[in-house]
Amino acid sequence: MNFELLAQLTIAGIVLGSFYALLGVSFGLVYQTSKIFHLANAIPFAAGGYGAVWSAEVLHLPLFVALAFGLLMAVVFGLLILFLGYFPVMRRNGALLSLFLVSLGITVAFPNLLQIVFGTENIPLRTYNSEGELSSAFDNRVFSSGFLTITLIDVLKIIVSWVLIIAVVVFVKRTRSGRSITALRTNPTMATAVGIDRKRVYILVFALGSFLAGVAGLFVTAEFVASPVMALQWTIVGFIAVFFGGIGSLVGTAFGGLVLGLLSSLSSLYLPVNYSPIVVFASLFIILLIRPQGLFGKASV
Amino acid sequence: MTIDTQRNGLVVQNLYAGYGKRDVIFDVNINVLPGEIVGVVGHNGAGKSTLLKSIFRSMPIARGNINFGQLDLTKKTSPYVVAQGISFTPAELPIFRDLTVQENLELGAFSIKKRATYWERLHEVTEIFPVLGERLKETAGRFSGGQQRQLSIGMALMTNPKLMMLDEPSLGISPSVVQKTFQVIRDLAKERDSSVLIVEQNVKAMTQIADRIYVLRNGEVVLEETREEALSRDDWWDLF
Amino acid sequence: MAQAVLFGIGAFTAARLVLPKADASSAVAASGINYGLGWHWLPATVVAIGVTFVAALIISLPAIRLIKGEYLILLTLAFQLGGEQILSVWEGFTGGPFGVAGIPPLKIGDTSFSTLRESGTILYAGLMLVITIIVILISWGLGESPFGRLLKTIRGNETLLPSLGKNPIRPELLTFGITAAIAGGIGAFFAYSQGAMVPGNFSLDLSILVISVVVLGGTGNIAGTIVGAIILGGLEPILRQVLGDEGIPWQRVIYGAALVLMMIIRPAGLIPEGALTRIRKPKVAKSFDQNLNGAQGIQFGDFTNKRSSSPEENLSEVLVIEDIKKSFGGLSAVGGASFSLRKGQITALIGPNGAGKTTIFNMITGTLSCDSGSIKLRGRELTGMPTYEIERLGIARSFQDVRLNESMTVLDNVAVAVPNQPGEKIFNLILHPLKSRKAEKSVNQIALDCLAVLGVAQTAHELVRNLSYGDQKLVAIARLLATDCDVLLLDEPTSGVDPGSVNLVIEGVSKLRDLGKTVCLVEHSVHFVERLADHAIFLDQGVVIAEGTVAELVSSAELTELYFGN
Repeated sequence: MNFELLAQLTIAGIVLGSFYALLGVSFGLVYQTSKIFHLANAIPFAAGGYGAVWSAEVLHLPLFVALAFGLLMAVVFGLLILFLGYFPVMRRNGALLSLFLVSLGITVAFPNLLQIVFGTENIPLRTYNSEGELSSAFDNRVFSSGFLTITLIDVLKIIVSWVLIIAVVVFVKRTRSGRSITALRTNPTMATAVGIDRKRVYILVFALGSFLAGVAGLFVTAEFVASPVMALQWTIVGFIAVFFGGIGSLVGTAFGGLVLGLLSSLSSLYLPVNYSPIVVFASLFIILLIRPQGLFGKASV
Repeated sequence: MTIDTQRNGLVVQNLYAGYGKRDVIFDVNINVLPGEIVGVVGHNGAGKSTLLKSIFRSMPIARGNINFGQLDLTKKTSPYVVAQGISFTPAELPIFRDLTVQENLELGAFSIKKRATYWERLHEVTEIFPVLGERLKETAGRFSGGQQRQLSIGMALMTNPKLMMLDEPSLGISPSVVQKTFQVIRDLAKERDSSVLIVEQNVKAMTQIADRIYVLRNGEVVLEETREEALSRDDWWDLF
Repeated sequence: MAQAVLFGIGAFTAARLVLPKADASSAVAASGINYGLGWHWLPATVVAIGVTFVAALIISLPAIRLIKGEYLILLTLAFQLGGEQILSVWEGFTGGPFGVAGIPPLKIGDTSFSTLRESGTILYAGLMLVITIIVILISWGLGESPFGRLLKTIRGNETLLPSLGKNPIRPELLTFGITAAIAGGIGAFFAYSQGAMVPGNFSLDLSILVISVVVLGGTGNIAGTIVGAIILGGLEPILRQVLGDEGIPWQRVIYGAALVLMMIIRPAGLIPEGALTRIRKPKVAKSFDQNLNGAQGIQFGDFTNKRSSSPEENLSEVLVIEDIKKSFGGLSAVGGASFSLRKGQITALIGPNGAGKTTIFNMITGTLSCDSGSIKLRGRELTGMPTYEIERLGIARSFQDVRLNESMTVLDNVAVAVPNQPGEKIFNLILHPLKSRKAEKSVNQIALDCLAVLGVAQTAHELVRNLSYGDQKLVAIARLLATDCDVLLLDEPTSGVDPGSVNLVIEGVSKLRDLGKTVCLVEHSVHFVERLADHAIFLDQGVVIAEGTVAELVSSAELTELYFGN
């Protein structure tokens, strides 16, 4: 057993897993509360990345402001989908299937719109430096200690993901607004009875979920590039993390994501690297076969 | 009978409501005078819950109107109704089972902005139902049926409603507890001069505390009478 | 959601089979990418269809246990995306991300259907048109057949079919498999027509395109899909003419927007389901005797459900229930109930809320298992049997919420209940088409007769959604009759019926008694039970408190106390 490789892969797995956890919580918030199969969560993801890239290059914003702008765009687009796509169907008493189809339509249309507006080339995140030239915004330093290496972005991924996840969990448990989310999810009749406005809760979860998706999008953009097709693959992983980890709780989802990341990374001990995404799908398939409520979920499905 | 619309009387006129294209209640007219306790009794499926839910606006109305005092509730939403001082307690799962008693009561007070008021009300409710005060930190799902009902009424009381609407409060509780609970409801209502609209299958418990009773059968109101008249009636079977 | 990848599986299977055999001596051959087994296209297509069929059945494995809609979506989505990955990685099969090329064109006799890239476009258009027409005919035939009627009944209503004695799993799996097989077959032709392809051709976008076509046109009918396909499919060449390469993303934007807009504005699609069903005047059977006193009843012939041939006497015990118990998580719902149902009698279960009436119903039909006790139908023990088996022994139930398929005709809704229909098995449809046709005529006649008993034969060719609720309830009772079951359980037959129509329902239920059925009903309105029931059983807290005529029970002070003041 090559321990160096094992250790390196474990770290990579933790990085990946933390990222999956973030995506899982992003989607899980929306799905658990509204039951909408919000595939269009890919849009805030993409909007975050493209928002940052565009504002840096066109508006000449410095790095952190551009990132904030990206996050703002993520939330704005996520809410636009809610207001223009889902609410009209809900007003018509649309079934969940109809809402999913709306999500599908948006998911297909948006990346192509991005392609039309920004072209097919992938755009890296660049900012103007002091000489007024565009240069890479981010110096992705590599840290090594003996045989282990990790990049700055990877470290940030772990820290930021878990900080945000914990923040969301605490928010949901401790604040009045947060509790209204849980109330609506566990007992919608009573939630309405005490005066909780369903619409407002939806706006809240969509805003939160889109924010998290935007953060994820920024990471991918900063580490690689902004590309029209980047969002969907990552969004789907978020889905898988939710169903794999367990639908009932955000914590279950987060840990599900972590496990998925580790599985995916460690599988390259035995399989060629480009088979890793298949491991993720296979894990989902297996879980749905033997334990449909998810790894950490409760038994009533 | 003129309704004193300066105060908070509920007036339901010519109400038709149901699901999709199908109505469940037909041409229902009822009212609750300020400070009155009104009961609506009827068999299972007669449309009692539908009536309450229509008033609470958690269900669509096909025809008719609903007025509370000067306000027309017909086209409004549930949060609006709550804000006007009307509370609603459903028949099934009237509490949040996974939360503690205190968290439940806190949610009951969701529509209350001032924190100080919340603490006042919490104090009041735990005085009315001491068992709740003793077990504030316990998970509500572990309580008995009767205690859960008490909690649900406590939650409604947190907002000090002008009109309290209760859907089958006797469901799942033993007869003696039903009697006690109903008596508490009556005493509270008379004390605070608030109105209560109760929907029930349990006619006996109803006639003990209601000022007036309506009988709903297959979606229609077939009878309206005072408590005295109801107490002396013996042909209930045919009304159900 | 997995159509694209299934399409791809068919395409690559066919490609691999028809690609020319490797010439062992050449070095290029050693890499194996653009070489195959050199088969003729016809057997290759058949194999491609078979492989895709099997792949579809594999996906369905978890689906058997997971009925919930969102899981199916997730499952097929995961299969699509996972499948895409597998295709792009599995070089031996697909040639990896660069795909395969050099697929030999189709040859029929001496005509070579050279690929679209060369001059063979018209030839190919003709071929594809023929294939499309064949597929449409197959689909249409299946859809209009009794099998298709079974499928339409399953949609949105999983628990209905077992209550009619039919198991939904096989038709569901078969349908998924057949549609996948069709996709696989078309995939093969795609391969022949393109000559070269990459795994990227079979991405999620394509699945979404297919969904857009169906949604735009209107789910539930083929005409709608055709219209949708023509509109959206026709867009592609037009956009390419006008915008050139820019056209491709615009095309996708339009598909997506079409999907979103349709869901918001017109979810039923351009041609909603049932819109093309014409309303015809029914030919009511001349031989059917409308006078039920001394009537022979409805002739079921080959489609009878009856196991026993010896007739029973009226009022003999048909269903005997002894001391059945059921608890849910420690709470007793039924605490030991015993009673019997008699032939030619309407027995009502009454009692206060929570008395366990519906639970007992569910225990009789097998929807819920009994913790203990026995339920015997003519001496045969029923506990432990699944619902559709119990139905086949002669017990059928109606539902409180009716559960008719709103976009089917009244006649179809009733016909689906008739047992033993050969046309419901695809095997028979293909191998014995005439026998199935003939059977279908008899089945429809039976359905019509049942409707006539309930007085609603004139609505036979109308869509259920256009009927009043009272009439729908009558149709649901007619459907019960069509099962040819002897023991009929009616769940709240008058609930939700508007005051004007209630009498019709009450009369309808009474007719069941006149036909010699054993009827048991749950009704909450004692007022109606008084008019309906010969015998009543008073339940409280899951135990039988008293039995007798309604008048007897109602006059008991003890029961009055129990019911109105518990």
